[in-house]
Amino acid sequence: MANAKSYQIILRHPDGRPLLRLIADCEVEVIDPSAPPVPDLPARRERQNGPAPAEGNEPRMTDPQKRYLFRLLAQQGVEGKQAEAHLRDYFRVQNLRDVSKAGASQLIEELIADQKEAGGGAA
Amino acid sequence: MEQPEAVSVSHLNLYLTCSLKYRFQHVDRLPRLYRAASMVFGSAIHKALEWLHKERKAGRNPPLDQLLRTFGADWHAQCLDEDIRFANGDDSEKLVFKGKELLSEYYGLPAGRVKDAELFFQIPLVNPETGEVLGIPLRGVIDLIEEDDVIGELKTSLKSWSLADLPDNLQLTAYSYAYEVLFGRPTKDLKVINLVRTKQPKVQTLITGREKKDYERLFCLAKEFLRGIRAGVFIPNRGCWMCKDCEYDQDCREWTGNEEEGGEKDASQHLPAGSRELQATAAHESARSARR
Repeated sequence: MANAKSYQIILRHPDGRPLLRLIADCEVEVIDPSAPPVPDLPARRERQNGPAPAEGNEPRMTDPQKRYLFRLLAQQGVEGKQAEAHLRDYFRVQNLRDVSKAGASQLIEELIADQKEAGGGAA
Repeated sequence: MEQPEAVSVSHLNLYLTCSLKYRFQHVDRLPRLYRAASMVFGSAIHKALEWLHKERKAGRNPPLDQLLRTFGADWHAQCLDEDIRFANGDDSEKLVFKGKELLSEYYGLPAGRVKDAELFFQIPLVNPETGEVLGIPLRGVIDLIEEDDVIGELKTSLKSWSLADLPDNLQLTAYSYAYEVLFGRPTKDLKVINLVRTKQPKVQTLITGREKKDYERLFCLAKEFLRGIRAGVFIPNRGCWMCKDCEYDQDCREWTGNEEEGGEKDASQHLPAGSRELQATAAHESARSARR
Protein backbone atom coordinates (compact mmCIF):
# COMPACT_ATOMS: atom_id res chain seq x y z
CA MET A 1 0.00 0.00 0.00
CA ALA A 2 1.30 3.48 -0.80
CA ASN A 3 1.87 5.45 2.35
CA ALA A 4 3.26 8.91 3.10
CA LYS A 5 6.01 9.05 5.71
CA SER A 6 7.68 12.02 7.31
CA TYR A 7 11.23 11.88 8.55
CA GLN A 8 12.87 14.45 10.76
CA ILE A 9 16.66 14.83 10.96
CA ILE A 10 18.16 17.28 13.42
CA LEU A 11 21.85 18.19 13.44
CA ARG A 12 22.92 19.71 16.73
CA HIS A 13 25.88 21.68 18.06
CA PRO A 14 27.96 19.85 20.66
CA ASP A 15 26.09 21.83 23.34
CA GLY A 16 22.76 20.45 22.14
CA ARG A 17 21.48 23.52 20.28
CA PRO A 18 19.82 22.59 16.98
CA LEU A 19 21.90 23.54 13.95
CA LEU A 20 19.83 22.20 11.11
CA ARG A 21 16.46 20.50 10.90
CA LEU A 22 15.25 18.62 7.88
CA ILE A 23 11.77 17.25 7.48
CA ALA A 24 11.33 14.98 4.52
CA ASP A 25 8.00 13.70 3.26
CA CYS A 26 8.09 10.77 0.93
CA GLU A 27 5.81 8.22 -0.57
CA VAL A 28 6.94 4.74 0.31
CA GLU A 29 5.62 1.33 -0.47
CA VAL A 30 4.97 -0.29 2.88
CA ILE A 31 4.85 -4.04 2.74
CA ASP A 32 4.59 -5.31 6.25
CA PRO A 33 3.21 -8.83 6.36
CA SER A 34 2.57 -8.59 10.11
CA ALA A 35 0.51 -5.38 9.81
CA PRO A 36 -3.27 -5.71 10.05
CA PRO A 37 -5.04 -5.03 6.77
CA VAL A 38 -6.16 -1.43 6.37
CA PRO A 39 -9.92 -1.35 5.90
CA ASP A 40 -11.13 -0.40 2.45
CA LEU A 41 -12.43 3.11 2.10
CA PRO A 42 -16.12 3.24 1.32
CA ALA A 43 -15.54 4.21 -2.32
CA ARG A 44 -13.26 1.26 -2.82
CA ARG A 45 -16.08 -1.06 -1.91
CA GLU A 46 -17.68 -0.35 -5.25
CA ARG A 47 -20.58 1.37 -3.66
CA GLN A 48 -23.57 1.47 -5.89
CA ASN A 49 -25.61 3.73 -3.67
CA GLY A 50 -23.30 6.56 -2.62
CA PRO A 51 -24.98 9.81 -1.65
CA ALA A 52 -26.22 11.89 -4.52
CA PRO A 53 -24.85 15.42 -5.06
CA ALA A 54 -26.62 18.26 -3.27
CA GLU A 55 -29.48 19.63 -5.33
CA GLY A 56 -31.63 22.72 -5.12
CA ASN A 57 -31.81 24.13 -1.64
CA GLU A 58 -30.27 21.11 0.05
CA PRO A 59 -27.61 22.26 2.53
CA ARG A 60 -24.05 21.88 1.25
CA MET A 61 -21.17 20.26 3.11
CA THR A 62 -19.93 22.64 5.79
CA ASP A 63 -16.33 23.75 6.11
CA PRO A 64 -15.78 21.78 9.36
CA GLN A 65 -17.20 18.68 7.66
CA LYS A 66 -14.85 19.09 4.72
CA ARG A 67 -11.85 19.49 7.01
CA TYR A 68 -12.88 16.50 9.08
CA LEU A 69 -13.22 14.33 5.99
CA PHE A 70 -9.74 15.23 4.81
CA ARG A 71 -8.27 14.52 8.27
CA LEU A 72 -10.05 11.18 8.46
CA LEU A 73 -8.85 10.20 5.01
CA ALA A 74 -5.30 11.25 5.86
CA GLN A 75 -5.38 8.85 8.79
CA GLN A 76 -6.04 6.12 6.27
CA GLY A 77 -3.18 7.22 4.04
CA VAL A 78 -5.23 9.17 1.50
CA GLU A 79 -3.96 12.72 1.32
CA GLY A 80 -3.98 15.93 -0.69
CA LYS A 81 -5.04 15.66 -4.33
CA GLN A 82 -5.61 11.95 -3.88
CA ALA A 83 -8.14 12.68 -1.13
CA GLU A 84 -9.84 15.28 -3.31
CA ALA A 85 -10.15 12.82 -6.16
CA HIS A 86 -11.42 10.16 -3.80
CA LEU A 87 -14.15 12.45 -2.47
CA ARG A 88 -15.21 13.62 -5.91
CA ASP A 89 -15.42 10.02 -7.00
CA TYR A 90 -17.32 8.93 -3.92
CA PHE A 91 -19.84 11.75 -4.11
CA ARG A 92 -19.95 11.73 -7.90
CA VAL A 93 -19.38 15.47 -8.17
CA GLN A 94 -17.09 17.65 -10.25
CA ASN A 95 -16.57 20.08 -7.39
CA LEU A 96 -16.53 19.36 -3.66
CA ARG A 97 -18.73 22.43 -3.16
CA ASP A 98 -21.57 20.32 -4.57
CA VAL A 99 -21.38 17.72 -1.83
CA SER A 100 -24.44 17.68 0.40
CA LYS A 101 -24.25 18.10 4.16
CA ALA A 102 -26.12 14.84 4.69
CA GLY A 103 -23.80 12.98 2.36
CA ALA A 104 -20.74 14.34 4.14
CA SER A 105 -22.19 13.28 7.50
CA GLN A 106 -22.78 9.80 6.19
CA LEU A 107 -19.23 9.39 4.96
CA ILE A 108 -17.82 10.82 8.19
CA GLU A 109 -19.74 8.22 10.16
CA GLU A 110 -18.47 5.45 7.92
CA LEU A 111 -14.86 6.57 8.18
CA ILE A 112 -15.10 6.86 11.97
CA ALA A 113 -16.58 3.37 12.14
CA ASP A 114 -13.73 2.11 9.94
CA GLN A 115 -11.16 3.67 12.23
CA LYS A 116 -12.76 2.21 15.31
CA GLU A 117 -12.65 -1.20 13.69
CA ALA A 118 -8.98 -0.67 12.92
CA GLY A 119 -8.39 0.33 16.55
CA GLY A 120 -7.54 4.00 16.04
CA GLY A 121 -9.13 7.30 17.00
CA ALA A 122 -11.00 9.74 14.81
CA ALA A 123 -9.08 12.71 13.49
CA MET B 1 -29.89 45.14 18.36
CA GLU B 2 -30.40 41.47 19.10
CA GLN B 3 -28.13 40.15 21.83
CA PRO B 4 -26.04 37.01 21.31
CA GLU B 5 -27.25 33.81 22.93
CA ALA B 6 -23.96 33.35 24.78
CA VAL B 7 -20.72 35.20 25.46
CA SER B 8 -17.63 33.50 24.19
CA VAL B 9 -14.18 34.75 25.00
CA SER B 10 -13.21 34.97 21.36
CA HIS B 11 -16.25 37.17 20.69
CA LEU B 12 -15.45 39.28 23.72
CA ASN B 13 -11.83 39.68 22.69
CA LEU B 14 -12.82 40.52 19.15
CA TYR B 15 -15.31 43.14 20.32
CA LEU B 16 -12.76 44.73 22.63
CA THR B 17 -10.12 44.82 19.90
CA CYS B 18 -12.33 45.97 17.04
CA SER B 19 -16.06 46.14 17.62
CA LEU B 20 -16.70 46.87 13.93
CA LYS B 21 -15.03 43.61 12.91
CA TYR B 22 -17.26 41.91 15.48
CA ARG B 23 -20.27 43.42 13.76
CA PHE B 24 -19.15 42.39 10.27
CA GLN B 25 -18.38 38.86 11.41
CA HIS B 26 -21.10 38.03 13.92
CA VAL B 27 -23.95 40.48 13.38
CA ASP B 28 -23.91 41.11 9.63
CA ARG B 29 -22.23 37.75 8.92
CA LEU B 30 -20.50 39.20 5.88
CA PRO B 31 -18.75 36.65 3.70
CA ARG B 32 -14.98 36.83 3.92
CA LEU B 33 -13.33 37.75 0.66
CA TYR B 34 -10.20 35.89 1.67
CA ARG B 35 -8.58 34.28 4.69
CA ALA B 36 -5.27 35.18 6.23
CA ALA B 37 -2.77 32.34 5.96
CA SER B 38 -1.82 32.83 9.61
CA MET B 39 -5.40 32.03 10.64
CA VAL B 40 -5.51 28.94 8.45
CA PHE B 41 -2.15 27.88 9.85
CA GLY B 42 -3.20 28.35 13.49
CA SER B 43 -6.43 26.49 12.90
CA ALA B 44 -4.69 23.52 11.24
CA ILE B 45 -2.12 23.32 14.07
CA HIS B 46 -4.96 23.43 16.56
CA LYS B 47 -6.84 20.61 14.87
CA ALA B 48 -3.74 18.45 14.70
CA LEU B 49 -3.00 18.98 18.40
CA GLU B 50 -6.63 18.34 19.29
CA TRP B 51 -6.32 14.99 17.57
CA LEU B 52 -3.02 14.22 19.33
CA HIS B 53 -4.44 15.09 22.76
CA LYS B 54 -7.54 12.98 22.19
CA GLU B 55 -5.35 10.07 21.18
CA ARG B 56 -3.23 10.49 24.29
CA LYS B 57 -6.35 10.80 26.42
CA ALA B 58 -7.46 7.44 25.05
CA GLY B 59 -4.11 6.00 26.14
CA ARG B 60 -2.66 5.78 22.65
CA ASN B 61 0.63 7.29 21.56
CA PRO B 62 0.30 7.83 17.83
CA PRO B 63 3.41 8.17 15.68
CA LEU B 64 4.60 11.63 14.71
CA ASP B 65 3.89 10.82 11.10
CA GLN B 66 0.15 10.61 11.78
CA LEU B 67 0.17 13.94 13.60
CA LEU B 68 1.90 15.60 10.65
CA ARG B 69 -0.55 14.00 8.22
CA THR B 70 -3.49 15.31 10.20
CA PHE B 71 -2.02 18.79 10.02
CA GLY B 72 -1.30 18.55 6.30
CA ALA B 73 -4.79 17.27 5.55
CA ASP B 74 -6.48 20.03 7.49
CA TRP B 75 -4.30 22.66 5.82
CA HIS B 76 -5.11 21.22 2.38
CA ALA B 77 -8.84 21.14 3.11
CA GLN B 78 -8.86 24.73 4.33
CA CYS B 79 -7.04 25.95 1.25
CA LEU B 80 -9.56 24.39 -1.16
CA ASP B 81 -11.88 26.92 -2.76
CA GLU B 82 -10.52 29.69 -0.54
CA ASP B 83 -8.49 32.73 -1.40
CA ILE B 84 -5.66 32.52 1.11
CA ARG B 85 -3.61 35.65 1.65
CA PHE B 86 0.03 35.07 2.54
CA ALA B 87 2.19 37.65 4.26
CA ASN B 88 5.89 38.50 4.11
CA GLY B 89 7.03 36.07 1.46
CA ASP B 90 5.24 33.13 3.02
CA ASP B 91 3.70 30.52 0.80
CA SER B 92 1.83 27.29 1.31
CA GLU B 93 4.92 25.11 1.15
CA LYS B 94 6.83 27.18 3.68
CA LEU B 95 3.96 27.25 6.14
CA VAL B 96 3.31 23.53 5.87
CA PHE B 97 7.01 22.92 6.51
CA LYS B 98 7.00 25.30 9.46
CA GLY B 99 3.90 23.67 10.86
CA LYS B 100 5.51 20.25 10.69
CA GLU B 101 8.62 21.59 12.40
CA LEU B 102 6.55 23.05 15.23
CA LEU B 103 4.45 19.94 15.66
CA SER B 104 7.58 17.79 15.70
CA GLU B 105 9.00 20.00 18.41
CA TYR B 106 5.78 19.78 20.45
CA TYR B 107 5.47 16.05 19.93
CA GLY B 108 8.93 15.49 21.40
CA LEU B 109 8.26 17.42 24.60
CA PRO B 110 7.51 15.60 27.82
CA ALA B 111 3.73 15.59 28.16
CA GLY B 112 1.49 15.50 31.22
CA ARG B 113 -1.30 12.95 31.34
CA VAL B 114 -4.20 14.25 29.29
CA LYS B 115 -7.49 14.27 31.18
CA ASP B 116 -9.47 16.05 28.51
CA ALA B 117 -9.06 17.91 25.25
CA GLU B 118 -11.31 20.44 23.55
CA LEU B 119 -13.73 20.47 26.45
CA PHE B 120 -16.81 22.50 25.54
CA PHE B 121 -18.54 24.41 28.31
CA GLN B 122 -21.56 26.65 28.65
CA ILE B 123 -22.03 27.95 32.15
CA PRO B 124 -23.64 30.88 33.96
CA LEU B 125 -21.31 33.83 34.42
CA VAL B 126 -21.64 35.16 37.95
CA ASN B 127 -19.99 38.18 39.54
CA PRO B 128 -18.22 36.59 42.52
CA GLU B 129 -18.38 39.86 44.44
CA THR B 130 -22.08 40.69 44.07
CA GLY B 131 -23.66 37.41 42.99
CA GLU B 132 -25.13 39.08 39.91
CA VAL B 133 -25.71 36.66 37.05
CA LEU B 134 -25.14 37.73 33.45
CA GLY B 135 -28.27 37.33 31.33
CA ILE B 136 -26.58 34.93 28.92
CA PRO B 137 -24.14 32.09 29.57
CA LEU B 138 -20.38 32.01 29.09
CA ARG B 139 -19.37 29.58 26.37
CA GLY B 140 -16.02 28.26 25.27
CA VAL B 141 -13.71 25.34 24.69
CA ILE B 142 -10.75 24.47 26.90
CA ASP B 143 -7.93 23.22 24.69
CA LEU B 144 -6.28 20.86 27.14
CA ILE B 145 -6.77 19.63 30.70
CA GLU B 146 -3.92 17.73 32.27
CA GLU B 147 -3.81 15.86 35.55
CA ASP B 148 -3.36 17.86 38.76
CA ASP B 149 -5.76 20.60 37.66
CA VAL B 150 -3.55 22.08 34.95
CA ILE B 151 -5.17 23.82 31.99
CA GLY B 152 -3.32 24.27 28.71
CA GLU B 153 -4.15 26.97 26.19
CA LEU B 154 -2.57 26.47 22.77
CA LYS B 155 -1.36 29.39 20.71
CA THR B 156 0.53 29.93 17.51
CA SER B 157 2.31 33.22 16.99
CA LEU B 158 5.14 34.92 15.21
CA LYS B 159 6.92 35.89 18.40
CA SER B 160 7.33 34.73 21.95
CA TRP B 161 4.98 35.96 24.63
CA SER B 162 6.25 37.67 27.75
CA LEU B 163 4.94 37.14 31.26
CA ALA B 164 3.44 40.62 31.04
CA ASP B 165 1.01 39.31 28.40
CA LEU B 166 -0.58 36.88 30.82
CA PRO B 167 -2.41 38.77 33.60
CA ASP B 168 -4.95 40.42 31.29
CA ASN B 169 -5.49 37.44 29.03
CA LEU B 170 -9.25 36.90 29.07
CA GLN B 171 -9.15 33.41 27.64
CA LEU B 172 -7.10 32.18 30.57
CA THR B 173 -9.44 33.91 33.00
CA ALA B 174 -12.53 32.41 31.38
CA TYR B 175 -11.07 28.90 31.26
CA SER B 176 -9.93 29.08 34.85
CA TYR B 177 -13.40 30.27 35.88
CA ALA B 178 -15.06 27.52 33.84
CA TYR B 179 -12.81 24.89 35.36
CA GLU B 180 -13.80 25.97 38.86
CA VAL B 181 -17.48 25.86 37.96
CA LEU B 182 -17.23 22.49 36.19
CA PHE B 183 -14.94 20.67 38.58
CA GLY B 184 -15.62 22.47 41.88
CA ARG B 185 -11.99 23.30 42.55
CA PRO B 186 -9.50 25.91 41.32
CA THR B 187 -6.86 25.24 38.72
CA LYS B 188 -3.35 24.69 39.94
CA ASP B 189 -1.69 26.16 36.86
CA LEU B 190 -2.79 27.90 33.71
CA LYS B 191 -0.34 27.04 31.01
CA VAL B 192 0.07 28.93 27.75
CA ILE B 193 1.71 26.68 25.18
CA ASN B 194 2.88 28.94 22.42
CA LEU B 195 4.11 27.43 19.16
CA VAL B 196 6.33 30.22 17.92
CA ARG B 197 6.75 30.44 14.17
CA THR B 198 10.19 32.01 14.18
CA LYS B 199 13.09 31.06 11.92
CA GLN B 200 14.11 28.62 14.60
CA PRO B 201 10.71 27.24 15.62
CA LYS B 202 10.15 26.74 19.30
CA VAL B 203 7.48 25.82 21.79
CA GLN B 204 7.24 28.25 24.66
CA THR B 205 5.42 27.42 27.88
CA LEU B 206 4.37 30.10 30.34
CA ILE B 207 2.51 29.51 33.57
CA THR B 208 0.18 31.77 35.45
CA GLY B 209 -2.88 31.70 37.73
CA ARG B 210 -6.14 33.53 38.41
CA GLU B 211 -8.06 34.74 41.43
CA LYS B 212 -11.49 36.07 42.35
CA LYS B 213 -10.86 39.64 41.24
CA ASP B 214 -10.01 38.38 37.76
CA TYR B 215 -13.41 36.69 37.52
CA GLU B 216 -15.09 39.88 38.65
CA ARG B 217 -13.26 41.73 35.91
CA LEU B 218 -14.37 39.14 33.34
CA PHE B 219 -17.97 39.57 34.46
CA CYS B 220 -17.81 43.37 34.17
CA LEU B 221 -16.26 43.21 30.71
CA ALA B 222 -18.88 40.71 29.52
CA LYS B 223 -21.65 42.92 30.88
CA GLU B 224 -20.33 45.99 29.07
CA PHE B 225 -19.85 43.92 25.91
CA LEU B 226 -23.56 43.09 26.00
CA ARG B 227 -24.50 46.69 26.61
CA GLY B 228 -22.42 47.78 23.66
CA ILE B 229 -24.04 45.24 21.37
CA ARG B 230 -27.58 46.05 22.51
CA ALA B 231 -26.85 49.71 21.90
CA GLY B 232 -25.42 49.03 18.46
CA VAL B 233 -21.99 50.43 19.28
CA PHE B 234 -19.57 49.14 16.65
CA ILE B 235 -16.54 51.31 16.06
CA PRO B 236 -13.52 50.60 13.85
CA ASN B 237 -10.17 50.47 15.55
CA ARG B 238 -7.96 51.32 12.59
CA GLY B 239 -4.33 50.54 13.21
CA CYS B 240 -4.88 47.78 15.72
CA TRP B 241 -2.96 44.52 15.36
CA MET B 242 -5.85 42.83 13.58
CA CYS B 243 -5.91 45.30 10.68
CA LYS B 244 -2.91 43.77 8.94
CA ASP B 245 -4.72 40.51 8.15
CA CYS B 246 -8.32 41.69 8.39
CA GLU B 247 -10.67 40.04 5.92
CA TYR B 248 -13.06 42.96 6.21
CA ASP B 249 -10.57 45.69 5.38
CA GLN B 250 -12.55 46.90 2.39
CA ASP B 251 -15.86 46.84 4.31
CA CYS B 252 -14.20 48.79 7.08
CA ARG B 253 -12.88 51.45 4.71
CA GLU B 254 -16.32 51.83 3.18
CA TRP B 255 -18.10 51.96 6.52
CA THR B 256 -19.82 55.25 7.22
CA GLY B 257 -21.57 54.53 10.48
CA ASN B 258 -24.06 52.12 12.01
CA GLU B 259 -27.70 52.27 11.07
CA GLU B 260 -30.15 52.18 13.93
CA GLU B 261 -33.07 49.80 14.23
CA GLY B 262 -36.37 51.65 14.38
CA GLY B 263 -34.85 55.03 13.60
CA GLU B 264 -32.43 57.33 15.32
CA LYS B 265 -34.71 58.48 18.12
CA ASP B 266 -35.98 55.00 19.02
CA ALA B 267 -32.48 53.62 19.00
CA SER B 268 -31.22 56.15 21.49
CA GLN B 269 -34.07 55.22 23.84
CA HIS B 270 -32.83 51.62 23.82
CA LEU B 271 -29.49 52.65 25.24
CA PRO B 272 -28.86 51.55 28.81
CA ALA B 273 -29.28 54.19 31.46
CA GLY B 274 -26.11 55.84 32.65
CA SER B 275 -24.03 55.25 29.54
CA ARG B 276 -23.73 58.80 28.30
CA GLU B 277 -20.66 58.01 26.26
CA LEU B 278 -22.48 55.25 24.42
CA GLN B 279 -25.46 57.51 23.77
CA ALA B 280 -23.24 60.24 22.38
CA THR B 281 -21.42 57.79 20.15
CA ALA B 282 -24.61 56.16 18.89
CA ALA B 283 -26.23 59.53 18.18
CA HIS B 284 -23.19 60.67 16.29
CA GLU B 285 -23.01 57.51 14.26
CA SER B 286 -26.71 57.31 13.48
CA ALA B 287 -26.59 60.83 12.13
CA ARG B 288 -24.35 59.55 9.38
CA SER B 289 -25.79 57.48 6.59
CA ALA B 290 -25.25 53.79 6.92
CA ARG B 291 -23.54 51.90 4.16
CA ARG B 292 -25.84 48.94 4.62
